[in-house]
Amino acid sequence: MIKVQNVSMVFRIPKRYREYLFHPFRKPKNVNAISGATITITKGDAVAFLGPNGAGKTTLLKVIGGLLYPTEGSVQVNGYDTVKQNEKAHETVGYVINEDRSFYWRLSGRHNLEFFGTLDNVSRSALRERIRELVDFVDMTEHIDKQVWGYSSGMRQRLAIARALVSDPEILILDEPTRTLDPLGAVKLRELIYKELHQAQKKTLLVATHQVQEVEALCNKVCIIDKGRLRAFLTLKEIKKRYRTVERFYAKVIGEDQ
Amino acid sequence: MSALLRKAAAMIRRDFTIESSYKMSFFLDILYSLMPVFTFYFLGKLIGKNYFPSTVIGIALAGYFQAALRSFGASIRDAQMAGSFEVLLSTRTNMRTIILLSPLYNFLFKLIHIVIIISFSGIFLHVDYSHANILSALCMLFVSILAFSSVGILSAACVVIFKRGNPLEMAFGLFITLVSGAYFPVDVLPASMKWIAVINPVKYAIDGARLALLEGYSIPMLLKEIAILCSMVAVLLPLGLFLFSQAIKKVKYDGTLVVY
Repeated sequence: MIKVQNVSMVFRIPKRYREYLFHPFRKPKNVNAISGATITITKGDAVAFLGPNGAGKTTLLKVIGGLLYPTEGSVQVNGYDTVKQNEKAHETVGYVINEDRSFYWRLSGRHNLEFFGTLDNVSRSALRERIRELVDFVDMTEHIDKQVWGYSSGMRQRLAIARALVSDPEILILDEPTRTLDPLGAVKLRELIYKELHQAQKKTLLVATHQVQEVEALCNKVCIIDKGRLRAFLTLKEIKKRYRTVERFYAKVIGEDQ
Repeated sequence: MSALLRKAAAMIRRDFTIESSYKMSFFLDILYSLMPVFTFYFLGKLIGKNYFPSTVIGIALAGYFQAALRSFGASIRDAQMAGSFEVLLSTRTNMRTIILLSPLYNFLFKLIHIVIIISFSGIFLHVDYSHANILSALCMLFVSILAFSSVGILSAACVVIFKRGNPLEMAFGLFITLVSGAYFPVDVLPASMKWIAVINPVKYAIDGARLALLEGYSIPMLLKEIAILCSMVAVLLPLGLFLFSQAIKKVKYDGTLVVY
């Protein structure tokens, strides 16, 4: 279970030289990336975080993943506070980092998985077997021994999923998982995530996305964030019942705000 | 313990695979380590017979200490720039362990530099190592590397916070090159600077290695140098690890973890 309680995240904007000179004692300006977010995600949920660019989706996921600490409030993952018990809290979390360069490009895909798996405390014998399973799972068998610089974006995205799954986490955070994929590749990846990870393995999924079809394909709950505030949090069933489509729900919530 | 060793091996293997894939750089780096040896060899001919043997050890060790100083911060900065820093932080290994293990390959590679420089100077430039006490020299090297790694970890904390512009690296860089006696005896320094040499731990590390390699001093004879460096480790290693953890904590609050 993930409990986000009254979380705010404030980023400080560094002062410019001119401000240091003319207003040395003035406090730097702040940006509220998240304001007073409270949400509870139960085990086995698949939650989509929808919102405009810069709404705070990635920031909230990073706070939940323990990569950022909230300015105010607290986040508990399976009872562990992400600030006070950071290491324990992220033991059950796998973060699919949507960054091409997060791999070592001069190493092969397999070598990358071995490296990160070792840091994830997976034993040597278990790691070999786990990598074999995952490579098969993300359909990378042919390419896994090639250096990562030669991979397409889609292959790197699938490798990122395999990396996050090496330690078999209970919770998987995906930040725009299909952003760089072609339409068919995106459909295949969604099927993989939903059928295998969510339905078969019962993993809790937190997915930041801009794509409504992704929400419908992957998630059973939808959270809308705008300007750092959680505007709505409903199940997909409720959304369909009340608004018929996710688009209408989104337009209604964001439209109200604007 | 075995998990820690596996992680250390994984770090070394990663860096070796990456570095050796840049073949030209890999070999040039080794060749480049010999360049200053020639410079100081010819300078030694001008200055006097005893200058070169003493300086060649200074050159080898100063390079090693500089690597110890820079490797920790460089590994953080490289990870930030490459985009792997967040992934490293999201693994189940704590950042203190990662920072301690990350420069291991660099240390081993620079150790090869030392061996090449010492062997080359002994074989081709007639430096007399016949009295060398290898055990004492290794002991001095081990204690020194721990001591300068402590400063290196403090320096990595600066990289996490300031990103660029590292005051510690600059200060200790000066300590290593200017007031350590690596390239010239500290006796030639003006009186106003000599006191810096007296409190400079680099001087004791280089003095100890010289005494072991050229005069054959045993470990008990080097106790003063070893004690000074151990005291440095005792104070700076826990301080460095603490401040590094605090630096990571600060950037997690500030949201500047991946900013470089």
